[in-house]
Amino acid sequence: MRSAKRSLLVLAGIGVASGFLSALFGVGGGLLVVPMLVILMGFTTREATATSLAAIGITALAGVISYAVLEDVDWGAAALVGFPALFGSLAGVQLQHRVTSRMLTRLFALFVAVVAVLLFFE
Amino acid sequence: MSTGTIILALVLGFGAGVLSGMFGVGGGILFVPTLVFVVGLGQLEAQSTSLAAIIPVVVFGAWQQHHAGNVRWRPALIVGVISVLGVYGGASLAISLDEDLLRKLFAAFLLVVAAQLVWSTRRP
Repeated sequence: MRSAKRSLLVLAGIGVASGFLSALFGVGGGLLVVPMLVILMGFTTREATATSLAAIGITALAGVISYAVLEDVDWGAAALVGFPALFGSLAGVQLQHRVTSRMLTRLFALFVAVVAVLLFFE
Repeated sequence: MSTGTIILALVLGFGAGVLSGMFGVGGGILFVPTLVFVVGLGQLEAQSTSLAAIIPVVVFGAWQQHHAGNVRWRPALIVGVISVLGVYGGASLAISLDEDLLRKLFAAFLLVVAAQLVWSTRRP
């Protein structure tokens, strides 16, 4: 019983934090949810990734509704990047099993850092 | 939007999907810069639009993972439903901030993501 209560509190905490991060930056929040489920709840990485996707579906929907009520959402642009991304992610998951390496991940990290710098000076 | 912009947005959307599938990061960190640099949206509108773009990707991903038997639905629903409380706070804060400051905070967030990626490659 006590451990069920603890689980509920931990999950609630992860939920509030990920919802805040997601809406603040327009991201899914998986970056927070996946490691938290692994570290605090003892999920395997596979379970955590899958469970986080399901949770983010609700989070992103709530985020879009909040923003649509309070501000603008460019639906055309959303469809323009979102639908090709759906097919891209299928290809990406296939590639992951074959080519993802430490080197490639570091290159991607460098790319993300460069984008960060460009945005900073935009 | 010009035809060139549309094509570039489609290509970058696909690319963002490939990278998110490969590295297990959400599409959002790539959607937002794409919407700012290519489509020319402001930071706030890019973020709200990114959230809308994420939905088809995660719904499809969750459906696939459900069929693979990997989703633990009770925790997923608890996290997802309670996240709505945080969403309200995050969206209110984002809207209240100056857009230039919001973009700089987002850039700082991307640096944290880059650091987390490098950290994930450390030898066990």
